[in-house]
Amino acid sequence: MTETDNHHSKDDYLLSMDDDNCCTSSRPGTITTNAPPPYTPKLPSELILFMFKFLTAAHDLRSAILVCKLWCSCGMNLLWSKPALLTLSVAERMAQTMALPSTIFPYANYIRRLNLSFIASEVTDPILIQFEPCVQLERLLLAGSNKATITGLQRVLSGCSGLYSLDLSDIPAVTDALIEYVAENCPRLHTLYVGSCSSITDDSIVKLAKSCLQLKRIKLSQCTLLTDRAVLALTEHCPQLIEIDFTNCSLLTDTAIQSVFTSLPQIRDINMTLLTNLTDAAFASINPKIHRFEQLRVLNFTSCANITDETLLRIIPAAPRLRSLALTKCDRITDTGASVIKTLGKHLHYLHLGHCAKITDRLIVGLSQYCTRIRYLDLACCTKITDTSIFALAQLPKLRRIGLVKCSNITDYGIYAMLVSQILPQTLERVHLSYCVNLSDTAISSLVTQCRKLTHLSLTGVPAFIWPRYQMFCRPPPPEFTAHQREVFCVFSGKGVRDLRKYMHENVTSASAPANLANIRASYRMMSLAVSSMLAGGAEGPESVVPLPPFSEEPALWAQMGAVVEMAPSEPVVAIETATPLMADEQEGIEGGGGEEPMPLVLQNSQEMDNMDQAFQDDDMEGVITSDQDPPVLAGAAATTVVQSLNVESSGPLVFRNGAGGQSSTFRDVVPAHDGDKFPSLQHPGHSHHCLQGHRELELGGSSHMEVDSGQEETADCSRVSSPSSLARSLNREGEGSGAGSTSPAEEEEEDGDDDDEDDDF
Amino acid sequence: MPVILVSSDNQDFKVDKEVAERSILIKNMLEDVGESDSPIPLPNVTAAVLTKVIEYCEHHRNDPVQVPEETDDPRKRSNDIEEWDMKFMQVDQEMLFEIILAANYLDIKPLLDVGCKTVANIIKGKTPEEIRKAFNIVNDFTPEEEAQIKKENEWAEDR
Repeated sequence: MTETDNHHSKDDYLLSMDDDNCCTSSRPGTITTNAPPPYTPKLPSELILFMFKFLTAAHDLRSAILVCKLWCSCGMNLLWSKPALLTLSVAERMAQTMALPSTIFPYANYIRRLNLSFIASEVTDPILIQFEPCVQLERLLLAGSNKATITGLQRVLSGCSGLYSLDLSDIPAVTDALIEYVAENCPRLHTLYVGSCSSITDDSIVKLAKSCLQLKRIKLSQCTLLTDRAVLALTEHCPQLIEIDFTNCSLLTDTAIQSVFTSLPQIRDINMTLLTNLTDAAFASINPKIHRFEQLRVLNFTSCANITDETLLRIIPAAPRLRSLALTKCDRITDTGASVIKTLGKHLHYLHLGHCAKITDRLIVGLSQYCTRIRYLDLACCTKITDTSIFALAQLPKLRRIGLVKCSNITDYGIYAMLVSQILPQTLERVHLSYCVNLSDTAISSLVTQCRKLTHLSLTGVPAFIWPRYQMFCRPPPPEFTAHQREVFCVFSGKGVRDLRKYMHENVTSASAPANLANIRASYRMMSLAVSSMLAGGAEGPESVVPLPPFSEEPALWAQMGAVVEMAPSEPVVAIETATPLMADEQEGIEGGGGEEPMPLVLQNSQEMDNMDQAFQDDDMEGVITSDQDPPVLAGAAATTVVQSLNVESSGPLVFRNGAGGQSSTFRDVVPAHDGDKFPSLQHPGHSHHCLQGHRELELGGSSHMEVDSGQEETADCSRVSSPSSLARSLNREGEGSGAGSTSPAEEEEEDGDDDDEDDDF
Repeated sequence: MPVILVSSDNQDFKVDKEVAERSILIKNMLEDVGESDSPIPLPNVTAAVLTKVIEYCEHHRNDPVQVPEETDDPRKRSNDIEEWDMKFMQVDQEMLFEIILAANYLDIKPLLDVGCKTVANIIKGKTPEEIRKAFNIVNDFTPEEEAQIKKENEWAEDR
């Protein structure tokens, strides 16, 4: 069937319905009552189309187009433009229609986006060939079509000169010959994913680079034959490249990466996972004072084991808006280089430091001060990390996921430290504590009870949880696990977390025994002092911080250890001091703060403090901040003391009590008046009201999606419909993209990409 | 400072500038004219409809300007109408479509959205014949055409 056949029949059809009101004039005899004729809507076609876009299910849209000719002509293009091909049968029936000798509409021409990846394992050459008439394709997603051969792939691609996005990942039939075919036929390509097409060589990539000059995104992960020659061709001929995935292109050397950073200053996302040849030399020519990678958002060095602090000190300051940084298994990284990460400030949302075993609390404490919008942090196997890091992290207002697998220094105090602020319990969704062998069920009980958003908790290999009474709530171990792995497996997710919470709430001894509470309070003071001393940049390293005594010790022991701890019951639970300047962004956040909190609560006397004990295990927590207890070492540093109590007798916001005046006010009231440049560092109330733009970046950027270039998306987003005519224009544009809820896998994994962390569940 | 809007049937409506400027059309007009207290004629909107539109704008006068992530979700949802808007849209069908037309003309995107979502929600789950009945639309297909379109789009029937 050819395009002209279709056009012919469509024109005939539309000629017969040139009267826009054709469906609004009643046929004689259809109205039998004497009442005035019922109202019939008269929407112009662009509004009908606009309304149809809310019909996300294909069957609803199909019903709508069968209503009348006008609705039919408005909706048909939309119905076909982005079909949801969730079953093979749908694809086959569409193909049957397109194969008819004559159809009412030129259906094949309507298809702009074809996503066969949901049925990839059933996609064969005959299926692909049936979609050959779809010459208007803009996006074609075939990832995983392992039955396809080069014949079928070439046929479906043959007429698609306008194709701009192509996903051929995981298709064994993709060879140099096919890539060369794409290079010749699809000159407008700007996105090409060929991950795991491991037979591709430099020859075809060089040809591709020379003919697809508009390439913006290319995924070459697992294309293990590629060498520097392919990369040099891309960086030479495709100056618009912004997203590159070189995962496991292990032949690449410093030359390739150097050319990326030399030729592509607008690079946005580069994945260098497993480039084992990569050394600091690749970045040696970057001078942060001269070179700026303002667009760089995602930098992945996972398992680039030769990378050292040197590289971080060059690339991080040159990429000030980095959002996601992965240094997993870059085990030569130390605090010295990693401390530069804090200059990223609020821009950093995702940080992977797993297996960077040299890093210490000092780094994490510093990051917690500056990178206040971290959402995701992985510290697996960072064995030097202690509870003090957790205490500092507990103030991050957006932290949703924290990975501490095999951080064996973490104790129950670290768990209670997560609860010290009322911040973390409100945000934490995923906590990975496998092989933190010192943890008790008492502490975990407090964690699951107070963190209501928790949906994932891993405790594999934690002795306190290798009991049937807990494992009955955990999800089944993967089938490939050995008997021993099964025995220690302990991962709770979804309903499992809820059931565990209920069970523990009813059955586990709480931490509210007075001796325990006193210990927790004491630990808070210890950790806060450690944090303070690290922030003060004192000469002593973190090693000099007095280690916390075992949880069971009597409080009296603390004094003997020389800690600056006093244990009067009416004392603040936590005292933290700092003199960190308020960042501009924090100001902005504070101003945007809401004011809907209930009345504040201030603990006034020891009796109320005593109430804390019984209230400790309850769900909500109440914070009180005073500055009565400035640690001596910090006097004169414009100290603000942050005190958190754990009282739930009434609900209200954090409260500051200024030591000087003794008057109290709500947190939000007090912050702006707080000298401007001094800020209680471990509380960032404003951050919960982050600027929307930053949020937008998160939603958009991290995903490597096959959709239109996100730069274009953002432009489209901003162009509000400003007049009826521009509505029509935007409708036309959207009409090509919007369809029946089909989503590419790349889009779906955007939100919850941390399931596959290799250390999490083992 | 109030603004005077004049409906097609020559009724004057005195509304706060902030409320009137929910309409991008009016906002642009005011910007073009500068400081002026001359009434703004809206020849495409009747008093009955304008009353409803102003009610909507009053209620939403303090809404933040639509942020991009809300405006352009490629997958448009119709199940996220807020309660007040839902009640506001409980009008007879003529008014519903008149509001949509007015929202389009006046360029009030959130109102246009909520109107179209309301219509879409009426359509959802219905057969073509039920939709025709709901909106009093006459089937102008010939039986042959209808059968053919049905057949050619049979793939979309799956739920």
